Amino acid sequence: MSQTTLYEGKAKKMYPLPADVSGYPDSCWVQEFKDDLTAFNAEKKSNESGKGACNQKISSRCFEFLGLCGFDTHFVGSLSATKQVIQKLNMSPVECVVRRVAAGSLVKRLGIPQGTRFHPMMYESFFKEDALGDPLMAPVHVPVLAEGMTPQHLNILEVLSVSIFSCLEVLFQACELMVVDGKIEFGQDDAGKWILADEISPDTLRLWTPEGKKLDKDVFREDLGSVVTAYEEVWKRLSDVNIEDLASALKKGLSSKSLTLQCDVMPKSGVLDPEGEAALDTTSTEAQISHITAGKSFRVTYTNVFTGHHLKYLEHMCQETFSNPLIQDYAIQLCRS
Amino acid sequence: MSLSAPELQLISETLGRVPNDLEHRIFDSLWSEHCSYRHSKPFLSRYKATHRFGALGVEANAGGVQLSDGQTVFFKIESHNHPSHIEPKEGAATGVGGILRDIFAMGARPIVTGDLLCFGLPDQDAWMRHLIPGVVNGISSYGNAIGVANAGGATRFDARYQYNILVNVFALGVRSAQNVIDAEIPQALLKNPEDLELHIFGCKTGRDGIGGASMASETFSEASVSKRPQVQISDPYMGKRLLEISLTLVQEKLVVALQDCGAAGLSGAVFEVCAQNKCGATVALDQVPQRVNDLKPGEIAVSESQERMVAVVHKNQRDAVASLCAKYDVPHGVMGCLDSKSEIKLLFGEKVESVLDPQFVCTGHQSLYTNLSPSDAKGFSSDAAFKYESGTQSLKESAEGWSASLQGCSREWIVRQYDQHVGGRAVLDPVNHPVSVHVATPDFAAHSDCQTIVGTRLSLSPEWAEQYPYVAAWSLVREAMRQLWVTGLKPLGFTNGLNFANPEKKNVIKAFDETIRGISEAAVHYKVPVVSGNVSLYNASEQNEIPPTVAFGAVGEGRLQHHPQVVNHYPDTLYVYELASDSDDVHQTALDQMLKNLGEVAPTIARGFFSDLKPIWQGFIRWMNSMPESWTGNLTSLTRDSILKIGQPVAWIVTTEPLLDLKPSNGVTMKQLGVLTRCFEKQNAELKIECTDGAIEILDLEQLKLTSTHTLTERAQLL
Amino acid sequence: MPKLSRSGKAAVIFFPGSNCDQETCAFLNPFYQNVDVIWHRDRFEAKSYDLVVLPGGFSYGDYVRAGVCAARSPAMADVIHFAKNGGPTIGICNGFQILAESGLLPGVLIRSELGRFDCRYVSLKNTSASNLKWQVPEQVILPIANTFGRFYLPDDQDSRLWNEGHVVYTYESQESISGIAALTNREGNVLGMMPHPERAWAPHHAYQFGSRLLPNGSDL
Repeated sequence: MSQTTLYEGKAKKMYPLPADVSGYPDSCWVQEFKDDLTAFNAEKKSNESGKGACNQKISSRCFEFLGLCGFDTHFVGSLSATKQVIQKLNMSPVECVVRRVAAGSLVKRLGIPQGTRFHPMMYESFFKEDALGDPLMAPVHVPVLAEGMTPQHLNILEVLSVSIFSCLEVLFQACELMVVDGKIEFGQDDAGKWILADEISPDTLRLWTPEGKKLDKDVFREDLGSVVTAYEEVWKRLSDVNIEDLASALKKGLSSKSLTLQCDVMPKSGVLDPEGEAALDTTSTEAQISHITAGKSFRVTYTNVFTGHHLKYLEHMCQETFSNPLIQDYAIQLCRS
Repeated sequence: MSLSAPELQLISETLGRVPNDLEHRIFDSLWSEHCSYRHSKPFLSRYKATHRFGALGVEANAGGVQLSDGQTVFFKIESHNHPSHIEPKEGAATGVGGILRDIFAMGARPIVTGDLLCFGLPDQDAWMRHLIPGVVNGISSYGNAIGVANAGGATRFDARYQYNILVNVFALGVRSAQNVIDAEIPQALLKNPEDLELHIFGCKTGRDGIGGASMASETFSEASVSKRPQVQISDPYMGKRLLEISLTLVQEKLVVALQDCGAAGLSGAVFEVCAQNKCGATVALDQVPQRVNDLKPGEIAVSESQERMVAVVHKNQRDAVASLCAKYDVPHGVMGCLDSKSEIKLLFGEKVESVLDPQFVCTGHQSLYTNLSPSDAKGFSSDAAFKYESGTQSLKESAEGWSASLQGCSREWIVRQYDQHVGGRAVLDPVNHPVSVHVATPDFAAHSDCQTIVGTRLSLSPEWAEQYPYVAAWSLVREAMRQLWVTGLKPLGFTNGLNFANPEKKNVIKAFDETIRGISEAAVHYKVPVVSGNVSLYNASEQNEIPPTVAFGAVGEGRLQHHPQVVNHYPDTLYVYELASDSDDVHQTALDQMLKNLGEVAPTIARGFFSDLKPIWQGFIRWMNSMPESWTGNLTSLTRDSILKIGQPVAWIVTTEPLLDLKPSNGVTMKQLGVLTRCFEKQNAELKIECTDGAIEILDLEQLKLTSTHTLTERAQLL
Repeated sequence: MPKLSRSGKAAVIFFPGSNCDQETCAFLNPFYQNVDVIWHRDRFEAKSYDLVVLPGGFSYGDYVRAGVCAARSPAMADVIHFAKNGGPTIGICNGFQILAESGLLPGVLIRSELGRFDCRYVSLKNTSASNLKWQVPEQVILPIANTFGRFYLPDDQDSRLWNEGHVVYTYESQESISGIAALTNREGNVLGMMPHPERAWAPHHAYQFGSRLLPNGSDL
């Protein structure tokens, strides 16, 4: 995880707050959106005036909406057309990719037709490293690639990504756009809390109209025309959505996409675990089992869209009811079965 | 599916067509042995002769007797043998749940449970070592959670139960005079049956135990392993809520009739209510609260999902019943209503699945079995003079062998897992006392001077019952009477669980008949009714069959201030007396009379030992091994014959004060055998005994106690 | 019967699955003018009571963890407020578990050393330096009946309990049971105990120490 005073990527750059800007906490800095366009691992490059400003305003609207949905985001406020104030974070090197429909590199990688729908959504983690070509990341790779990160972190990022994505689906559905797939990134604050970072824009999401017209970076990748025109179209639709009302409705439960999360509770090591011991007693010495720990699992099903508010409440339930922190540890993950 | 060809033929003829799935399941369940007592009804009619001595509610969920303070006490024994052999924890737990529901379906608050268990030998049998803790865990986890005090009971270990364990559970409840309810609907209300609705509340219905009633009617074979999914799952937390709801419903007069969903599920409950009250009903099976949404009508009708009650509710009380269930978060549904026709219409949505005559469903098959009667049973005569030798070894060897045997060793490992004190009604410390006494008055704080107590004596058939079933049955009754008497209680009623093997075999049906004859004749002799019971047949397998085994319960009442002072910390001295009758009265009436008098006038009896079921010496040693404190003592003029043989007209009484001015009644002699003194050094705990033939022996009581404590846990490898 | 002085009001909170409520009310009756049973879903005027008791049993079937579901009941909000303001509060067995899960007492009750349900009489010894606001006897014999009755805190916090006067009774040298049997909070108004005093007070009980554990109790 990196922490630098100045960072410049392909589409954005980050730097400390200028001296003349006041009214923001010290733990913030500026994120500026550039007009550069890159694709295919920076093989294709271009530049279109106004793209940065488009992405800044789309991104800030999306983050505002997700904040209303109860998610913690790094977004503090917009500073200018291309600049916004964000919270300083320890960024995670994981790119969280969520897909509803097969498109892009996945089509070739898995050999499935473009347009295949995924029910439930498909989630993948990628390790952010240009030199390696952003490889697909499995929990087992975590200790090798990312020091200080645990496989459990991937589970949390999956839960957050899937729930954020389903809220974005609702947001864009309200302006008749389909979110095909998207990449999001997270960072952690000093307390270790996971916070949505980076950007959410047509650079990082694939957005299609009902007629199948693409309004995202594929316009650049596939030379379909002006990127800014397409991005302005997205902004126009998005700005018509009443995000306060929508977030409020989501909180109460809007659509019926069901989601099941699993909370595993295990005794803390060192605490008496008579169930595990009893189970061990029943095994024969030939089995050569040295230790058994017995815990329990709670599968919590939501039949409405799952927002940040729901996740926070679930965390509260895990700490207060499902587990007793004196004697037990808990871990949340998306239920895969 | 256990319907026989003649049964299927009768059904098809009556319906005018082949039965559909729903009908097939209903008949299969209700006509199975478990529900319909196909074989046993003709024999059980012997008990009718005892009912005139005060039996109440004999045909209902549980029978009872009236207490002198106006309350009614209901009690019953139920078996859950077959399911417990397959899945011990749930089998035993659902047994406890079922019998408790039978009690509170009568509007009575259950205050005591007990259990009578027969296991095989654990030494070479891993499955038996799994069954023993499983059954105990099942009874304990259910009874403790629902909060009914356990009175103990009896446990037997015998190779003859190796392939068929027996789990018989007992429950007793008390009902105040104002709360009267059972499955019989008052005539006045039956005039407008359309105003009476059928409600169901409790756990949602699932697939549990589909076919369970018919499983109980088949013998075990290799295929038994596949019967696992049929065992029902219990939930004492729901059971407790059902208990509170049911008692409130009765107290507030919100229900007209109450019936528990037991074997054959809700169809059993509905058909029995209608048959008993000679009415009909319309039942919408889809209105029954369900756990999964793809149940077929036949499955809903016979599912044995536990913790459910069926109630007949006047439509004016419907909302009150629904909100009471909602208060406890208990699922509730209105599934139909009664009518004056003589048929039950079963609907599923719009479709009429079946129309059946409740009388035919409940009793139609009886016409196929009119040819079995008591006189048909041929076999050995068992009225012959009874002689059972149990060896003439030294008393010391007998004590050591007994303490180290599974039969005689301590059951502490089992009993400590049962909550004996919940409810606060247990008098003193009921562990290890043959009669478990509980306060029966509802508010036992208020009238601590004149409170009613009820005592329960639970016992199992002796080991020799197979050869002498009639005498064994009589002895069970007599021994229970004596234990109640010396505890200062007046015997009020009996219940029995009759566990037998395959009734199609002549020796089994003969023993069955002889057993019932023995119990009923003894009951008439003592003028005490048999109020309830249970029959479990087909306890046999390819390998063997069980001996005739009666799980017997006797209940008596008394007054708290007259209860013998069996204090937990015994006084420092105990006095041992022997009573002997010299008359050749085969029923030992002189001794009975003496013991009854003793119980009434001498409130200081700690224990009584009788030779009805097992030798006095075995009972005495078992008691010495069970005492937490150490004792030392001296007993003289012991006659080996009296205390090593069974069926002797002799009794031992142990008192906490000397019986000085007591005049024994006619035909009975009394002598003091000696004194036991509390000792505070374990190494001094020894008993010196002198027999009339001059032999003197010294018993190391601490060693005996140690052996007794460890035998069960070692042999059954219990943790 | 000796003359009894009854004064004040006691509340017994009844959770679904509590099964000692009846005998707990009978236990309080000789010492309190009014004994009210409060349904767990109802809010109540706790400050009008002189004592609040959480009875024994298997609230919510002991599901998830003994006492945790009950601790989240609406009535507990009033109990917690009452206890935090110094109101005398007693939790017996399951009630003790509920007090621990609601944070009114430190620690947690876990599975006993024996590993299974155990019902017997135990001898308890009072640690004379406890914070408990009312007098209790130095030695008592009471029945226990539970599986999850072992008090637990990580070692570093456990020693603080002793130094800060939380421990009221310990089990006195007997087979397979040891440690803390009854606990109080810093202010000494909350008492949690695993043994059952409501099963050892009436003349027909084997022992009568129970009533001497109440704030205004005495020998009957």
